[in-house]
Amino acid sequence: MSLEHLPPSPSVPEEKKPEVPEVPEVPEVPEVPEVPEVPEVLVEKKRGGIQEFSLDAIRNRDFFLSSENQGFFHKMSEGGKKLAAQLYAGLDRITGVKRIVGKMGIAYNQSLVDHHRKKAVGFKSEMDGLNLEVKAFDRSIIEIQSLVESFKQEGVPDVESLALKLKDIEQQKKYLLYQKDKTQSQIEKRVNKMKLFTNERDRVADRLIDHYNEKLEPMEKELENLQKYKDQTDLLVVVTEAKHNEQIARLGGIEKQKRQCVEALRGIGMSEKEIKKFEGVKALDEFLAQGRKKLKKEKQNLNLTKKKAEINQKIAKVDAKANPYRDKREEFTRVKEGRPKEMDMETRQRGQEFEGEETISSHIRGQQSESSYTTGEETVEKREGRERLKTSSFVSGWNTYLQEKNGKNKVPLNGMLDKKDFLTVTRLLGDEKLNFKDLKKILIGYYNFKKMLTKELKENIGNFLLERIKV
Amino acid sequence: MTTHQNNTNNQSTQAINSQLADLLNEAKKVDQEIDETNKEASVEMTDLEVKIGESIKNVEQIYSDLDQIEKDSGDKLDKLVLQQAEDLASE
Repeated sequence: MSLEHLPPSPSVPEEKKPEVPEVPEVPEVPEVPEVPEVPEVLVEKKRGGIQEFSLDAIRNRDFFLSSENQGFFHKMSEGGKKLAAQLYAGLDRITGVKRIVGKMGIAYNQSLVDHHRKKAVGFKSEMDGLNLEVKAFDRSIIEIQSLVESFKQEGVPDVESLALKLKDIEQQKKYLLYQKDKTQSQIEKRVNKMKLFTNERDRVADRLIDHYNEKLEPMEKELENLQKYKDQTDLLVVVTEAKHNEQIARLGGIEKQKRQCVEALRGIGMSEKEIKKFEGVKALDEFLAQGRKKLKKEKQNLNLTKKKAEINQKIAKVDAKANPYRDKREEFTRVKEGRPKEMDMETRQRGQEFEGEETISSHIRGQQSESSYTTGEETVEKREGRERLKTSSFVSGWNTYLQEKNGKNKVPLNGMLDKKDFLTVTRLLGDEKLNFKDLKKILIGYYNFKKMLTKELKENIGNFLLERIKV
Repeated sequence: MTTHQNNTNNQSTQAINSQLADLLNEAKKVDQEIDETNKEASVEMTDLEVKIGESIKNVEQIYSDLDQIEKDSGDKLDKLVLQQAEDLASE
């Protein structure tokens, strides 16, 4: 046997896989959550055709960076600045409140992670190649060792050169292993860099989302309180106005009776001069004038309607400010989870900026306007304002109406009034005679405050009053 | 005027006077109720205004906290992104 029997130089076999023991596994490139390729906030800008960036853009528009980060930016290499400018392109055009979402989108920009991933994948391929080479060398070494042994036994000369060849192959293998170690270190370094970045980024994002969740709960609670106070204010205004109306009506009733007394005094032959000086008439005239004057003055002093409008305005303003925070929490989670933005979302209606006085309108589509109802010759609205009823009778009548409407149905009707609670909440005594129009407003205000007001209840209140007026 | 007529007039005057006195009492009652209504409304409105003021203050504080958290987080994210950009560019 000659040296011709030597195995060919180790080369990477194309199909046949080496059977030598497995070398340490190259760490797998960790899975990175799928996120939109470009932050959604930037996509819009791309559509606007401003994707082309210039270094000046970020140099001149770095106002969104803190002074510390600006300092870092100015110390960066030109290449780093260019890349940063590319990443931040369009951020300055995002409105202030949404800028944080844009920044999060940039941090979750897939290209940052992809760069690491590509590098890691490149090293991994290199590593796979080295593994195959090492395995091929291992196979050759085993074969040569076996040949050396058999040549020695057979006494074949020149075995030493074969042994030298073996040594050379072992040296080459050592070099490959060194290369492999080096590549493995590069993969690990790359993976660690990627992990460090994604972990830190996730930590910042999670902390932000956690804080948001932590703060939004008390915020919603306070906004609920404000809504409750608003309803309470509405009810207070309605009840106070109803009481004022009742007091005006009572003063009017007294005036009417006084005029009858004056007429009777004329009847018994008293002159106008004598009537004016008549003690009872004089005292009553003074009191009625005083009462009306006081009522007018107090109404002006209280100025409930103005105060109510101011309160509504304040609450609407603070409530409207809550919407961007609610939306941002959703967007943070969406960017973090890489969910696509849901398009054509219906705009949230709650907390729209207050624009003037709110009006209570119970007009229902397809239903005749309340003011156009007539009973006989008088409109319902006029009769609602004129006819008066004791509050306690109104409550009982309303409950009876609801019961009758419910018929034999044993299920308690939604809207049945607890008289005690109703009188406590409205601060009414029960014996005051209020006009139907005010009673209706109070009832609607009460249900609103109790969060019980429904379209059906509103309709029922209207129908109940209509029936009462017809009676 | 006869004595009988005088007596009748006196009785009528007394009756009217009594009716006017009742009306005066009723007017006084209304006057008192006006005072009570206004006092109650004023107290309740003041109470509500205080509560509303406190709630608005609390909500504004939450907004301010959230703004601060956003700013801190935004700065941290910027730092990370800039570091990454520099890191990637230097390779």
